[in-house]
Amino acid sequence: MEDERQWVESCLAGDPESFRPLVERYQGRVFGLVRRITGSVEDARELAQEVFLRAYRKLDSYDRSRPFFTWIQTIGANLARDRLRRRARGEPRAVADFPGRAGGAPDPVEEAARSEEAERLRRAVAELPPEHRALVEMRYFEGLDLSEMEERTGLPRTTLKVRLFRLRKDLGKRLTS
Amino acid sequence: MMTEPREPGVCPDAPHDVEDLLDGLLDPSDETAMLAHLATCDVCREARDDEARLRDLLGAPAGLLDEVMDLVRQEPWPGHVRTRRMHPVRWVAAAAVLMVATLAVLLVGDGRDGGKGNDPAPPALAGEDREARSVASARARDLVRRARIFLAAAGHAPRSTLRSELEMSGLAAVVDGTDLEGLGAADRDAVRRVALLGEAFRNDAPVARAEIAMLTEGLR
Repeated sequence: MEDERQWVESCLAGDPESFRPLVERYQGRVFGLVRRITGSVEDARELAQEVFLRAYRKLDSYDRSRPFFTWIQTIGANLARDRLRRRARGEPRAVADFPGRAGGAPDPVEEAARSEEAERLRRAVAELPPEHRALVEMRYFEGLDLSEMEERTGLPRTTLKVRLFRLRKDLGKRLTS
Repeated sequence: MMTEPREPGVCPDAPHDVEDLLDGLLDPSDETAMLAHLATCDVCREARDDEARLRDLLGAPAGLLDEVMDLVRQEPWPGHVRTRRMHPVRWVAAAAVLMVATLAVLLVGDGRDGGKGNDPAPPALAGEDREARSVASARARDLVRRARIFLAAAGHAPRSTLRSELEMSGLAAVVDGTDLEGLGAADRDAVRRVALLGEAFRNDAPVARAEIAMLTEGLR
């Protein structure tokens, strides 16, 4: 957590590039979180951007005695639930202050192929037995590292590595079959 | 060169875990050692490629990091709020509110104004010091009381009502110009959160209910 505090301090001192390692570290978890809540990959991408942007804007209100992820998790959960409520009411997306997706547009053909493969993989994950699916979700949807998975599951690291190895192979086979 | 793994996916020669490498958890020297091992170990390389593929397909989409950073670079630096200068009209409003608060305190006497009074009682002081302390304390408590009322309404009242309340109470201006010394941590937090909302309202920035909920969390 010390490195996180330093990155936050650097951002507040005027160096936006110090925000990069924070995004890099937590993008998977944030994306997984908002995708789980909204059930939409497209919404999740946009919301994940918004979560980090809002966190950056409010960085001076972040309580540095708490883990950074706990803070952005709250922002992410609130934004995702808000999106769901708006969707249920048929309201348009409330992102008027949001400048839209940044960066260059991805190659549409490449993007479509990747989306299709990702969708097949997600279906394959959904068909896994619950205890295996839980490990995949922890690792790839929530973005937990091995130590966090050890803590969450109570399984030794070696057991987790072996199970993940087998799951990767299993999912790879399902994808190609 | 590689040793046959005793357990599938667990290379006995690997100095570190492939997962930790991809998670960016290794120190530079450990990372170098692991990369050197990967160059010679088919088992670990295959594990690394499989892991990277699943992360790519199931984790955050490719390009998200750069997209976020492009947005971040367009933002003013997040510390700017603290150094923002207040509009002269706001100073006038702040002064007016402070005068009213001071008068109220003088009329009431000792500043026991019905505030929640979470802070420990100040030490006994004599004469002018005590009076000054009492005024400051009452002002601070009044501020906190207003902040808490505002925050209690913030989760459900229409935005137009909140905005008008913020303007009429002069709370945002007071928040900007008030020395928070002497307030307890929870009260400071309440005032600071109102300041953030006030800042957004005054700048006409959309404030989502989720954001209000976050700012008011634990304060009602």
